[in-house]
Amino acid sequence: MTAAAGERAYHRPETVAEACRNLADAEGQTMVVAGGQTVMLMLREGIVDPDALVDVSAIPALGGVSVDDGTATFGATTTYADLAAHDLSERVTMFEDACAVVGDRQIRNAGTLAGAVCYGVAALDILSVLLCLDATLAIESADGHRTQALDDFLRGDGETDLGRAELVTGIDVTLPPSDAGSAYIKHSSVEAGWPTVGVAATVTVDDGEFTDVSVGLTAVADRPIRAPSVEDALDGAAVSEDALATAAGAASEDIDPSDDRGGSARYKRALTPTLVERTLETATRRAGGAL
Amino acid sequence: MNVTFDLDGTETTVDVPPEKPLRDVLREDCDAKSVKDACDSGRCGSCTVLLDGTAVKTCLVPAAQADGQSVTTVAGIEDGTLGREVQDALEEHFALQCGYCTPGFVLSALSYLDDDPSADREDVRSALGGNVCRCTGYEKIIDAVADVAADLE
Repeated sequence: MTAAAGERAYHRPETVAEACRNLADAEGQTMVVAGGQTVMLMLREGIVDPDALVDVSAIPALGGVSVDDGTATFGATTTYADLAAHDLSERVTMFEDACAVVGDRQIRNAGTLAGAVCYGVAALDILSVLLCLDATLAIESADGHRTQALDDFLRGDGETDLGRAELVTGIDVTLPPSDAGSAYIKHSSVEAGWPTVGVAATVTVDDGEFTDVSVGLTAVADRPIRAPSVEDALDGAAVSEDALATAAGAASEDIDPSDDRGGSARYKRALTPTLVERTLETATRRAGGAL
Repeated sequence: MNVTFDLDGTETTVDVPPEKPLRDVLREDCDAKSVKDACDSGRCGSCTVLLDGTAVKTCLVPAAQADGQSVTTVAGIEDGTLGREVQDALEEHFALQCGYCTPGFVLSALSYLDDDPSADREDVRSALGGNVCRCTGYEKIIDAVADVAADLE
């Protein structure tokens, strides 16, 4: 269905192909709406004034989570609540951790994973979790299909590589080994509020050594980032509290925080190593590591 | 655009801009004044309704998304249901003062207890994190909902 509301067109397609046509044919600025938790706020505050809205919430093909061996695919309109309720959140605990601290229950019922991906700001908790798992996006347009690593897709503060007529249709992640431990911990000034710092981590303990270390950071750069210095410092190290502390200290090399609503750059710098250490410790215990 | 939905058991059709917040449609076009209007930014939860049984903040839902769905407000809660138990518990515990936030709290609590009947006090506290009360200090609200949860067990 399509409606013209004053000057603004509103499309509610039922297939991905129809959505891509709506996006391709729209004139002026277009925005995709799924859960509405970001777009509706931006509309109300006058931050955006698009000529057309394409509401993808009625496209059945965009829903659902599928798990296949070592990978999982999230349909674009998978909500935080869907993810939290899925078996995957028991297997990859950082999903459960992150979903518990995003906004609140009502927002998690509506907000979507691809919505977070396309908003792309550094403070979105789920993005550093997805980065940890080398997330790749499936992107459709009237011109065809492409895939892109989330890490490349996120360009900067709310800037992404999404073309004006493109639609993110799915998110593929590589699952950690079944014996891995993972965690997401965030600190914010109010419970489940915007993060001062957030840390996602997954580790595997093999023969008393760390392997498959992956660390993602929220709200400490112009976009969600991985923490390669931490990962390199820990990978192959013998499991010990000292190893965690040393690796966590290396986080300072990976971050470039600015003052934002979650806290000052100075505070973020002071907090990051502590929170990285705490998160790694939780992930290590969950992986069966003896600390 | 015509949007048709079931509002508390009554099929309702309104002709509204599709991106109009559902909260404003309910209040202005359907006279459903139990759906409150407060922070205007998706924080306070006073505009919470159940959309097809799921608690959402209607200030952040475009009207078009209600098409073909059911919308439950506190006005649609009937005697002998879990929703009524929540309402009675709030009253018994003196868990409302000005009452403005109460409809949202009732619906959040109802939706949560529906999903997780084995909730403990800490679960309840977390589940109600999307609703703001400026009078009570929350303790009595949590007491009331935790009591209903304990009865469900």
